[in-house]
This record gives sequence, C-alpha cells and structure tokens, in this order.
Amino acid sequence: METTQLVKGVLDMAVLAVVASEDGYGYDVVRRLRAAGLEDVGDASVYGTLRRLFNAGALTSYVVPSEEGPHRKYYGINGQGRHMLELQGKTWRSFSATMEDLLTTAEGSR
Amino acid sequence: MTETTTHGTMTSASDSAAQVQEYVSAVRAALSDLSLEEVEDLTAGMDADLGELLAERGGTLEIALGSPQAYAAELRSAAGLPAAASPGRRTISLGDWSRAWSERVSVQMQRRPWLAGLLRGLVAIRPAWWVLRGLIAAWAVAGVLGLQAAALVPRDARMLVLSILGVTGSVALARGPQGSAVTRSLVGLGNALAILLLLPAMGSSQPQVVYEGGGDQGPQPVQGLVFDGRLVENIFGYDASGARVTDVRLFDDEGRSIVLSAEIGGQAAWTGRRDVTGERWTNVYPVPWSSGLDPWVRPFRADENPVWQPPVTMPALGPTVGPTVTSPTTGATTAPTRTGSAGSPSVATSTASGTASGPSGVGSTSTSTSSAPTGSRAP
Repeated sequence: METTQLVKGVLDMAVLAVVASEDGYGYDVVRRLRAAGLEDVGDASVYGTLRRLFNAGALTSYVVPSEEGPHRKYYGINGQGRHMLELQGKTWRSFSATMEDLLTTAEGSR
Repeated sequence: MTETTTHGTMTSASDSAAQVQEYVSAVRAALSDLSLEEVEDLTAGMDADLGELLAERGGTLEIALGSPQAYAAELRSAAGLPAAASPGRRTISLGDWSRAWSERVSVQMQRRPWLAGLLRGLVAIRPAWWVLRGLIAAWAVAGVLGLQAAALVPRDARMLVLSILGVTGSVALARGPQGSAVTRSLVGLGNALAILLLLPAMGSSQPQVVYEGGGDQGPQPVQGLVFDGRLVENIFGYDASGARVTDVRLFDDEGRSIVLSAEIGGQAAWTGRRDVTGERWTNVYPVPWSSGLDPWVRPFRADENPVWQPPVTMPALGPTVGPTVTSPTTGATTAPTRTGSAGSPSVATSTASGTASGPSGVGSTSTSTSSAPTGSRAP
C-alpha cells in the first residue's frame, strides 16, 4: 500500500507529536519524521503543515539567529496543540484498533 | 570541495548558496498570487533549511525536492491555502455557478436545520409568487401601454384582462416542462426584473409627498417643504449685495406661511418669532437648529459628506438685464432721460417727477435698457 496517502491523513498528528517532544525548525522536523520511519514525508508538506498548525493556534513560533547564515524559525507546541494531539491520538488509537480487529478476523478465517 | 559545478556531486558553499537562493526565488514566484505576508510566512527560514538539506543530502535541490513549482504547490496544499490560479482568467459558466451555489446551500442546510425549514416554507409559498409575478408583468405592460395602472390591484376592465393574462402566463411558465438552460436563465432574469419592478409598484400606491401649508390648513399627513424629493431642513437667504439675510418671513403664492416639517430634528422646539402685535410667525428663516444655536452653522450629520455650510457672503448680483421697472400703481415711470453713454445706470433720474415724459422712451432703444432698477416705486 502506498504510504504517502496514509501519511497525508496523519501528518498533523505526526508533526504535533514530533514538536511535542522537542521544539524544532522545519528541516529538523522533517529529519525527525524520517528518522522515525515516515520516509515518504514531503519536505514542503511538513513546512506547510507547521504553518497551518501555527495559524490554527496549536504551535508557537520564534526565530533563532544563527552564528553564520540565515535565521531559523523554530516551532514549539502549546496547550491547544497538546489538546489537539491528545484528541487525534485517541481517534487514531481507536481507528487502528478497529483496523487491527478487521485484519485479525480476516487472517483467522483464512 | 571542488570548484567544478557538476550537478549531482558535491558543490562549493557559494554554489550551494546560489542554488538555494535560486530555488527560494522560484518558490516565492510560484506563490506570488498570495499576499506578501503569506509568502513571507511560508518561506521564512527556508534558505537555512534548504542549505542544511543540500549539505546533508548532496546533489541538487531539484533532485531532492522536485521542481520549485511542485514544491510550492505542496506547500500551499499542506498549509491549507488555495491552489495557484491558473494563468488566464477562468470563465465560469452560469451552470457551474448555480451548481456550486446549490451545493453550498445544501451543505449549509445540513449544518443549520432552520435554514432547511425556511427553504421548505419558501417553496410552499411559491404559487403566491407566481401570482404576484403575473400581476407585476401585467402592471409593467400596462405602464408601457400608458394605461392608468396606479396599483397592483386591477381597477378597470383592461387592467383586469391584463392581470388575468399575466397570472395565467406566469403559472403556466412555472408548471410547464423544464426548458433548456437558456430558457431557465431567461426565466431567472424575468424573476429578477419582476422583483425590481415590484419596488416602484409598491411606491406608486403610497401617497405623493407634497408641500403642505402651515397650521391653519388642518391636520395633514405630510407636513413640510419638499425640494427635489428631500424634506427641506432650513432656508438661507442672501440679499443682492451677497450678505446674509436673517429673519426673513417667507410665503407661497397663496399667501400661506412656508413652514418646514416639524419632524426634523431640533425644529420641534421652534416656536417661531413674535411680531410687535404679538402674532407668532414660524416662517422666519433661517430657523435655529435648536434653541440657542447659530442658525448659520449647520450641525454635523454623520450620513452627509461633505457637510455644506452656508457661506458668510455670496458674490453680489450684477445689474438686472431687462426693461426698467415701472410702477403701475402711480403711473409714474423712471425718467427716460438720455445720458450720453448707453447702459450706464441712471440712478439720479429714477425718482418720479411730475414732468415725466411718459413711457415712450422706455425700451425704445435696445442699448439703453440695461439700466439698473432702483427703488422706483413711488411712495
């Protein structure tokens, strides 16, 4: 199954989860998602998601000047973002449990 | 690091920076239909990130990320922003538009049950609309034919026939088979026209707004002075020299006092001025806006822009063009004494004298008739 389509549906939750563990700038978030196993995640999708979550009030943002070269924009999670992550996590767990049951049943009847 | 810039291999730091710059510019260009703020927001910190990405993955940005246009499209869609408008204006057909509209309505109805109820109610009273639409059409036709069609309710036989035809036609149109898209568009246009025509139709059954005289006329539905459809709130007079005239009493051609509407703000308290005999006059102008206020300073009104203020002076009037004023009550005329130069005002000769030579000289020559009128009425 093409994981790209699956990732799209859960990208918000994935990005929130990564930022919740530690603040990060765009490319850093991409790298951590990839390291976690979401290798199909698109760079631009992550940047866009970060911006949308920030505009939705789920993330905070601040600029960190770097010693050399351009500044970096960091994102961190806030209360609203944590609440959103919690809700989406619940939905995901129940959904994945349902899928798991379905698959187990299918395998059992083989 | 090598200085050769073969793509796909390690490039120098300056090449990398240039490549990042170029890529970021191309992405920004692909976002250029968004506001500057949004573009800034979407691409802030992008140079730093892309520089890091290039250093880590090598190759080119195009290989790692795809084209800047594809990158921008992905950025947009993930950020929840609308896709870039395709170059050239999209033409939206009426059918597309109405489909999109009804789609939106049905979404709103699912969200708001009361809206669905309202629409069901509107559908239920549609027959009433068909009748009204027919009457409006009849009224419009009667107007074109010049029939007296003051109201929507038919008053004479011809109006009645027209009304029946209109209503029958309107209902037949509504109950008949659905026509082509063109016919339906025409019917929609006709409905819109009917609604527009309904407004003057309702207006014409209202009483005409006319000037009504002062208090001795008895109670009247509309009181006040209307000029060009607007209730006059005050009157400012200037004399021939251009100076303001205060406390001037105005009468109409029937000798009625010209009184402004009592409903205009501030004038309800206006009780007028008494003359020496004790009689009260409410036709004295200008009227104070409210007691104690200078009538020559108009109060500010929020809905007016700009506020007109009566000027302190006006340019003085020029000499009157026309025959010299005669006084029919005494028969005396201005003396037609010729002065040497034509057109010069002959003020000194205007007093009536017993030796007036009669009217023969007045107006006899075209050049001498432009003398200024002076107080030529004999006492």
